Amino acid sequence: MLNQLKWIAAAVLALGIVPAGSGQAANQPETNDPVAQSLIEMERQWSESATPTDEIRVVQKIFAEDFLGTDTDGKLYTKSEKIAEEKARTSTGEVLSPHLDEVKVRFFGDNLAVLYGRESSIRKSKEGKEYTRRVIWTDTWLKRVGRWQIIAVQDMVAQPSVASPLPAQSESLLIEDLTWTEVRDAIGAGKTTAIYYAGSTEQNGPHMALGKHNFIARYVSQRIAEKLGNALVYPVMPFGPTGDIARRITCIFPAVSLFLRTPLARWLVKLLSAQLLLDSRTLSSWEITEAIRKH
Amino acid sequence: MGDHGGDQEALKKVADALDHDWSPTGTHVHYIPDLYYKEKEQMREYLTKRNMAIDQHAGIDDTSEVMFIDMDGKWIRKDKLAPDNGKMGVEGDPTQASAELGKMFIDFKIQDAVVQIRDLVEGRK
Repeated sequence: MLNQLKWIAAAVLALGIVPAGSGQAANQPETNDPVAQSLIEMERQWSESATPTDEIRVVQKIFAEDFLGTDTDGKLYTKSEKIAEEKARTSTGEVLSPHLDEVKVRFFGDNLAVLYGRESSIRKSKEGKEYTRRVIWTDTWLKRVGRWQIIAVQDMVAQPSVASPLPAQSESLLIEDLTWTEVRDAIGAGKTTAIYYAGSTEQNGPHMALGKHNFIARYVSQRIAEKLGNALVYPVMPFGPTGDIARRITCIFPAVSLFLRTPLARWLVKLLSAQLLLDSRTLSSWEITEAIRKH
Repeated sequence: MGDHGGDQEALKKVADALDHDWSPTGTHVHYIPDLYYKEKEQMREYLTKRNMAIDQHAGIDDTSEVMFIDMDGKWIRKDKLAPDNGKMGVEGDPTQASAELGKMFIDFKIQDAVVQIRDLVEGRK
């Protein structure tokens, strides 16, 4: 009997805490459960923050220091990044009546809760049309030292209630990916900011490809356009005044680059793009002298 | 705006000249220096605090940024990472670069540019 007990004890030890959790359904709280109510209330304060100041106050309180979240762009962010982003937000006018629509709470043990929610807000597009933006999220709450805080969130945007007139393939912000009618329609729909981002093709040591600036330019310009919401990205200029150590490789670039800065090239570019694509620039005589001297 | 130091002054000149030419038609052209200069300040402040080599060219800053966006592993030769020896076109120490740093520097650029574009566009109204 004693042996049997020992075996049972050993088996339980070997399984550790698993039997307590595995197979046990998550606890769905009563509607008036005070903990669930307070978590929902904190979510409501966050969802319905009307200004960046409100949002920062709520985030300071409810985000754990080691929080990580995934935003609707798929970008991972920390607590301090969220606060910095809110501080830098200059315009708040386009978000109206944010509302927490629905939340479900599930407890997993005493210290872990997952909240599944939906919220909506009325937004104004650049052309003044109002539409409803719905966000669906999953937030993970952890109780540590008696305090509930969010340790992880994942947000996604539900299909907007106003159907987009553009099919998915033409939602690119790079005009190179669009047809001319799509560019025309996008400008007509309010994308009136043209991002022109100059790169360069140059040596970057033996460890990095020549197109460094151009790769960064393509990535960063698209992210800027996404954040602005009213912008399209024009082709990246791949040449700039440069070249030193790998002169054998880069010396052709200033030549092309010089041509691109002539009035003829400037005029051609203007003509082709109906003045929307900005050309590079005119070089000062000093810059031309420098470029010739170097190469 | 531009990613390359050698372009900055010329970009400003062209933006000013085109803005002057096109403003009467309702098209405005703004040069966005914060993308380049402000990010450089933020990057230097961050690296200085950590006693890391300050970027010049193809060092921590540049290499980290490309590491972050190089999803397919096409643009960095990890076996060739080496600090500046005065011969290979590297100024700085790319061996300390990481995709995590790159994400931070890239986010500085995006944030700095977005804030400045909004300021300039709103300031014009």
